[in-house]
Amino acid sequence: MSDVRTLLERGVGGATPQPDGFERMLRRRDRKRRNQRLAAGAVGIAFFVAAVWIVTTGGPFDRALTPGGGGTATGPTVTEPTIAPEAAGILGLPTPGATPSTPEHGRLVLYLEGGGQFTAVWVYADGRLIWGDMGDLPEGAPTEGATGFVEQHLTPAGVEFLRTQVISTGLFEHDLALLRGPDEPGFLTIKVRNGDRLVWLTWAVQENYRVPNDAPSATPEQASALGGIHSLLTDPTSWPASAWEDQDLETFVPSRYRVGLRVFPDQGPGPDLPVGARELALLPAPATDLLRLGTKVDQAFYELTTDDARALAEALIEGGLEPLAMPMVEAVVRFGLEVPYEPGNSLFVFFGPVLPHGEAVFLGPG
Amino acid sequence: MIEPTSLSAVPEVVEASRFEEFFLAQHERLFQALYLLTGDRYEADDLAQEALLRAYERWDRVGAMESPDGYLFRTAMNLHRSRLRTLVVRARRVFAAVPTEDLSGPVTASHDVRKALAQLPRGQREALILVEWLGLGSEEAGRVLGIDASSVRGRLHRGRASLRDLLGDRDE
Repeated sequence: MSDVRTLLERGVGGATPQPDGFERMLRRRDRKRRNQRLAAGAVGIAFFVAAVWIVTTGGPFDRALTPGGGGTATGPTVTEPTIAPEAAGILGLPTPGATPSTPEHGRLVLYLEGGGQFTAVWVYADGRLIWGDMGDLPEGAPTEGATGFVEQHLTPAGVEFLRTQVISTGLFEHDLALLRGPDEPGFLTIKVRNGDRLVWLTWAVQENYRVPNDAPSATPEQASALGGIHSLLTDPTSWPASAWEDQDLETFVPSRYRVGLRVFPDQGPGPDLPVGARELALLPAPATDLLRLGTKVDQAFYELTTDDARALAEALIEGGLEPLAMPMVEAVVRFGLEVPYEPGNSLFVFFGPVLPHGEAVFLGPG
Repeated sequence: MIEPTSLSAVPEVVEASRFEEFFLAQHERLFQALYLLTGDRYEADDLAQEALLRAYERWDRVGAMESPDGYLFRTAMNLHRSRLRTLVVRARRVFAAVPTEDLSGPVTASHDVRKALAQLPRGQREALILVEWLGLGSEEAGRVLGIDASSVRGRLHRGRASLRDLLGDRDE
């Protein structure tokens, strides 16, 4: 090896960024500004509501007020609300009183995740079509009380149209893992109901642990069919009018949230550490009380009603933690704090809605 | 009569124009550096967009810096590091996987190099890309990475040796 620069040029292989870079960056700026405005308003409201609650009721967790001590905000002057109090909430969690999507449980018919522009979409037998989006909410989606997920409603014929379009590719007779090449867009996971079972297909890079190393590469025909499915499912304008029961976008309001706790080393990816009583004790007491009220799903995951999840988020904020990211972008509420006895490690608390088929989803690119 | 104002005389327009020049000069090389760093062109494109946007949002300050590109590269490196951790969150709990490396496909020379780079410790990879691809000196690369120039040189030395080992005779 005589010239590292030459080697790196070989590694780049003439790759160039996607076109219209400057215009894309300006659009990104516009989305970001809009989301920041919305988020700033909603977080301000969350503080406001918590403070009023403490003053008027003695606190949601029977914590006695100690006048003059602790420096806790005790007056309703923290932040002027910019939207009606009844619409207040924590961004990423539905507004208090929002009606959960019905029915609570649903049978998943079709699911797609991935693509160059990341998309996640779920289609249910009852006609619900739920979108999650890593980058932005769809145009026209409601922003107040946004959970990061929106729903529309298909007719039974619409559900069947999508299902048969996917099945007709012939790729879903059995579960299938395919390798994708470096020039093919993003990874894709698709699940579709075929008879009594959901058949899945994953199309991903070799080192992705969802795809075994000896998986076959997608043929050009398979890659083309997968691209076609992605295009179909991400472009609802191409669907027939008869597919729609109600095309209006509504916020998807889950009935339950799953809350996860994880300790991560700060230095890049690595094994996360188990969460135990010592880590739980780092959280404000009302938060640990609420977690105990939930159903412990596994070692570090708890399932709570949406109201309890909101109360938990409020307890964390009241305890001095701040949401780490804008859920409008990440579709997940996250809090983080340093672990004092493990310098450099952080404890994260994150919230993900439980979808009608029972899976909790945490979307987040960072 | 009001004289029409020359656009070039409006400070904001001048600044915007200067940034656009900066963008055009840096976009492709930053993307390519991030492609080498991440092994995934979509991830690289997204990181480059975000880093450039952050420079744009602070252009009044960044544009006055001695080395705006140093700020840009530092931002991109930090974004990549923080994103790695977040990706772990998703990878572990959400959909069970997120590709952080795009190393599949036809076995090509390009692929081999990216695969070899991906096997280097992140610090060595960053040093190689900053110095060998972006052309920074070890002093400036050290400022970008927040380490001493001597540490950069050490990482470079080890990184070159590791690449040599990994690529072997194919890279003559």
